[in-house]
Amino acid sequence: MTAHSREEVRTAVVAALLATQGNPGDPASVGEETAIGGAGLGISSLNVLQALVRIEDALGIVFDDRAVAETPLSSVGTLVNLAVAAAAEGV
Amino acid sequence: MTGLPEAGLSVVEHDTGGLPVRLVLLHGFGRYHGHLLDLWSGSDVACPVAAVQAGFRIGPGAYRWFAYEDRPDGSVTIARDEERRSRTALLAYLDALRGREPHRPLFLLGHSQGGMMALSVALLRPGLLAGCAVLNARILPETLRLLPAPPALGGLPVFVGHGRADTVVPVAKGRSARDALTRMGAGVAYHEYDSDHEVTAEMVADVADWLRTCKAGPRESAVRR
Repeated sequence: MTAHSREEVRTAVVAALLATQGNPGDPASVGEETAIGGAGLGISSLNVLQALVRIEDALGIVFDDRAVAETPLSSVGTLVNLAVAAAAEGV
Repeated sequence: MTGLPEAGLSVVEHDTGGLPVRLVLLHGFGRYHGHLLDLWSGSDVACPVAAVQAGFRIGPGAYRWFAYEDRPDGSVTIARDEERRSRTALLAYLDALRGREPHRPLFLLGHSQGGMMALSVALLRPGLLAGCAVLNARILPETLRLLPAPPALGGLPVFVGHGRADTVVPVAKGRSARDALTRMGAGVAYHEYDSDHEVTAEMVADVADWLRTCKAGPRESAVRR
């Protein structure tokens, strides 16, 4: 049981990722399969870190250090999974 | 993980047996305590370890000992207050550790900023340590300015390892550290690697060999103040 639905988490994750680009973009065009870096959103690892902080603030959660360090954040979906897990831990 | 609220640090201690030393791990900027702990677990040397996590959180899984800024002229400015607080906290933890384990030789292993913190401890309180290993690090000028005169390190074993292609802390800084530590009387083991700023398995293996050698050497029981 989490305080946030998966859709709420996904919305917050996408908003945080796009905000790091300084360009709101179109959230509707970003799916869970979208790659965070490279040819996907093209977000650097440093900006991913900024996004993680934004997600924490937006959802009122705290990511687990080891989980973040050990999880390859390759796609939006992997980050959503991580945030859902963090939200569940906080309940 | 044990929090040290008065110090802002967090520490994980593993008493695994093996070599009768205590190895304290100090991670680099943007890492957390588990980084060096995981890498060291891949070495062939077992010993009690303590992985210290810096007190300033950048984000999930990312902490710093102090903020810094690269200047256009190539110099680096650091947040001196953060460095001072981290150094004070680290020394307080090491003093407490020494108090609990007075007969166990204490070694530091630091990467990048963690290596800079390790070198600061070695320069300011060499008697606290039996040895110090640093990877991709440099001596902080701010630490040297705290010393009334260059310290006499009395043969303190220091391992300095640096990637030739380090794009964060140029290898010239590692060579300068080697030269300065040698002038101060440290027993320096210097290694360069075909790598950037990361910690490689080859570095970890060399530090493990060095630690075994130190343990077998004449400073084995060194506990000085």
